[in-house]
Amino acid sequence: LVRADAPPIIVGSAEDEHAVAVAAELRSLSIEPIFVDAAVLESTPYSLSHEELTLRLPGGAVRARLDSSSRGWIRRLAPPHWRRAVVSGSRDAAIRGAWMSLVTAIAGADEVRWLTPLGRLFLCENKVRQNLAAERLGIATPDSAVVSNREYIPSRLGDMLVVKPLGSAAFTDTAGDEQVVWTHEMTRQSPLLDKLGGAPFLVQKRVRAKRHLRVVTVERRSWACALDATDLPLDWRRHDDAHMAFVATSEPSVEGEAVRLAEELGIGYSSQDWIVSSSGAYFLDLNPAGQWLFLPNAVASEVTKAIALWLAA
Amino acid sequence: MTNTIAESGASNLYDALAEPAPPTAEKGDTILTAAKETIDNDREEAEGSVLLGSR
Repeated sequence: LVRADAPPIIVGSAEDEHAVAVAAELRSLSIEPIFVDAAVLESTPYSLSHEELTLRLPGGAVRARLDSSSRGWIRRLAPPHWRRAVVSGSRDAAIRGAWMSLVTAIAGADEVRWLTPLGRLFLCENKVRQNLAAERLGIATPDSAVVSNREYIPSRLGDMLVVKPLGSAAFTDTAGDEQVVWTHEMTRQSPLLDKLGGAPFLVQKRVRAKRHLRVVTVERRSWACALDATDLPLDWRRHDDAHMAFVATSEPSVEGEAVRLAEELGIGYSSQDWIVSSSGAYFLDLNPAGQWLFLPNAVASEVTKAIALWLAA
Repeated sequence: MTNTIAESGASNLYDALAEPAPPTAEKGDTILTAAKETIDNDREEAEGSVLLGSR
């Protein structure tokens, strides 16, 4: 088990519900993880020297070894909205960048065995990279393209299209309000497609879902939950109730493909979206740091336990 | 559901399609991207400084 001088490192906040759940599971194994993120570093006396990080917490100093004796899980580099409203190039941006450099010096430590290394997390957030990896493995995905002009949308995508942002789907507007860009369905003739040049969006062939699947992988294990697509909008996240309507299911083929895809991408954890249509199952996209606690408890608790056991190994 | 409510004058699909986020939106899932943007910006600024000969 874990060496006393090399506790598991959770890069995230002790107030993040997913990190809290994994930490509770570790404590049930008598293992106390060390939490560190940009906000923790900013508010805690610390030292980082050679391969040792020391946090001088109110209850006493805790130490993490940034070497091969440690395992770690990167949940979040910083809490939501941490120093977010900063003008690029400003003094505040330099200060934020300094904190971010420190946290990435820790989360990017090559010697630590991370569930998913930082570099893989960044690369594998990219939907184009995800689709290419799926195609390499022969996993079905809706045919797609990223184009600057509507005339470049391949004819094979058909007349009904699905459009989703290639970058973040959520942002804070100038008034400070949270905004979201859902996945949208539109016809090839839609005037909205004149705006493709303003920011890259992924354009996909419309595949009608009978069921949505959320598949979670931890290393070589996977769990599938299903949501009936009947009466739901294209993007089920629009319906608050849908989050709690997933049911645990068994989809051995999809679960196996999900693990293969995660291995191909080099990520130890993934939260994947699939759909089941009349013509079979299709991989849509994945989040290498996505949420799982909204899934049925039988699945959510297994995922939590699997991450904790990996950290404790 | 086919979208027909494009914001007039929007020059990109973010402006055209953005809506107020409900509480259930997976907001936290974007922080990794936000952090990456920070790192990318910082790197670009650092590289820009090098190109400009400021260090």
